[in-house]
Amino acid sequence: MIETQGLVAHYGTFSLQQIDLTIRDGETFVLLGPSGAGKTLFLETVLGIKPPDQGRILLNGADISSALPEARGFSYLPQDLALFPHLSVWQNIAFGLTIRKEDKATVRKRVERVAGLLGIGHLLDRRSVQSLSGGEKQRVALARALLVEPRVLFLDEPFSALDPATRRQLHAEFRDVWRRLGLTTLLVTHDQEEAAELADRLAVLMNGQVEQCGTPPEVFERPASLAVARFLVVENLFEGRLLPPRHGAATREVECGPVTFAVSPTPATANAGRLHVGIRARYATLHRPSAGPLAEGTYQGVLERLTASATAPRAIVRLGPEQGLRIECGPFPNPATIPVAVGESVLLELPPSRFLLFGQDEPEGSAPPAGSGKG
Amino acid sequence: MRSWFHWVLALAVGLSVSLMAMLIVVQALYSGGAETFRALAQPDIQHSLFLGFTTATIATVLAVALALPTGFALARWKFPGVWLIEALLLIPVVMSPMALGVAILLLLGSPPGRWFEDHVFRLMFTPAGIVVAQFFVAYAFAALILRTTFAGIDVRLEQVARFLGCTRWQAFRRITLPLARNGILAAFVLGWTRSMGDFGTTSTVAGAVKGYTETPPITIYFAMQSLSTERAVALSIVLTLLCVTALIAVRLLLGGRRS
Repeated sequence: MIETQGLVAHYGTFSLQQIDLTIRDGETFVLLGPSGAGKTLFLETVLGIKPPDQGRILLNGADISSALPEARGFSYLPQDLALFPHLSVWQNIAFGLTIRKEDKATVRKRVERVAGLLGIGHLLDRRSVQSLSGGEKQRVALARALLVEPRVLFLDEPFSALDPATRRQLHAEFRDVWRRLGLTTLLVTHDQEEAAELADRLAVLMNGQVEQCGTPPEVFERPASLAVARFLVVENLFEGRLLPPRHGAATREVECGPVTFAVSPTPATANAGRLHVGIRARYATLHRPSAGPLAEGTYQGVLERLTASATAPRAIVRLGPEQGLRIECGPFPNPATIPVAVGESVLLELPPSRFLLFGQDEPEGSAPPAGSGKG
Repeated sequence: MRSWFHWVLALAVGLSVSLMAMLIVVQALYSGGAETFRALAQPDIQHSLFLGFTTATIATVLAVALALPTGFALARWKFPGVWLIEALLLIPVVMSPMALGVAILLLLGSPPGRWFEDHVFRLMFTPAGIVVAQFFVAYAFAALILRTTFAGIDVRLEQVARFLGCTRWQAFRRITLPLARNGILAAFVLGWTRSMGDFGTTSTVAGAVKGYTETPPITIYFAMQSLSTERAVALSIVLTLLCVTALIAVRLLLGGRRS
């Protein structure tokens, strides 16, 4: 288990501010954040490449804050993989054991075993790593990192240079390998899909601070703040005013310009004046308009257009007049399931319980999700 | 239809190539191969070449040995004022060779320099002085090339090597040094050619004593003084051939890259 306690580090004028995180044994922990959030600085500080200004780094309870990088028992896969260009594939993979002066038979056995695990046995005779494809380089770099049986594997956006198909394939393969080996892994990425696919738990880092920490469903379903919601691209975010409670109603109303949404308030926002409301596009469903009165959580609108998409378009529904709100709905893998044609009236369902509320009187939101805070 | 700019560039390239090629061609036309071989057979020229070769080799080995760790440190260390140190190391390149020679003489005449001359061995106006002069000439080139070479090697490679179990020294020896091989050879070759061809600094520090501190450029100087143009040209051809060979070697070592 790795723990950071009040970790502060700086690079130029940027600094990490009191990072408290715990990475449990055997889990894949993802540090997710936009460019410039301090992800790599955090990684390099924990790795020992940069010294911390304050705070401690604990490995299984022992303080390793001032230990040399080579004494920490970590393996590191940087963004560019850093395969040694002057060594063959075999020499690259075997490097860690060669340094430890392991006997040749042991090296051969372990290199072949790890190569078999990653399906790169056929690459072991390659004299240069330069001739490998992007996916092959990833596997070779991972094999090299795994061969030394690290206590923790650190990865800094190692998939970012790959095409989407290869990336997805490697996500599945790598996750399977990590699980089989019971490896503790810390992955840094700005890619939300990657985080969702690989993480057992994740932390959102923004401007040098951990904004939220939890399992992927906790973080993606319940962003802790407006900033996190914006980073995680909650498609429909509007500023509004929380109306006074109605007698006997379980829901509250938020007036956003010409539209008033029914929402389930959180204790933190129950007394908020102005706030932001958000709802993910996938929770917005479309129906044919009906003649009867509108039920709670349904809204009359016009299907304005479909977004261009190679796979699954999204529907843009206008609520209110021409200057009204645009709500993104979908995606629709089968556009034939969209009940009305573009330009026609449509009934939009937005479940009150799916709304996210972020108060404005607190910095960037107030909705505390499950699992937020210390990781 | 090519623009006028293209033709200006082509003219500049053509002029440059012609001027440099003519430097070699006129020497060959003046002397011819036979004269060169005859000159090479003369004992005093053989001694001059041997002395120049030996001192330049020793000076360049010493210069590269010091420039190697210095270049690595300057490429890796980040601290305010690093540019000042880099500028300082380049002084021998930008200084007039004579002025550099005078500065070295003053250094050798200072109390530490005098102590060295009295207790270790004499440097001023001796063949050892040639090594000192050539060391300064070669060092600046070597430091410049090696700093650039190490800066071009991704520091991540060393970091990854350390996480695979290397100490800093092992990461340097097993990863950085092999990757810097071509740069080291280039530093050596260019430093050596500069040392071999140096006249101003060498003659100021070691003097121009015939048959004693006489390196090839000094022999050429003597030959021109005594109007033995054939000897001067023959030795010039030898020096030119050595330098051209060295430059081709550097080019091949760097794999034809432009950098």
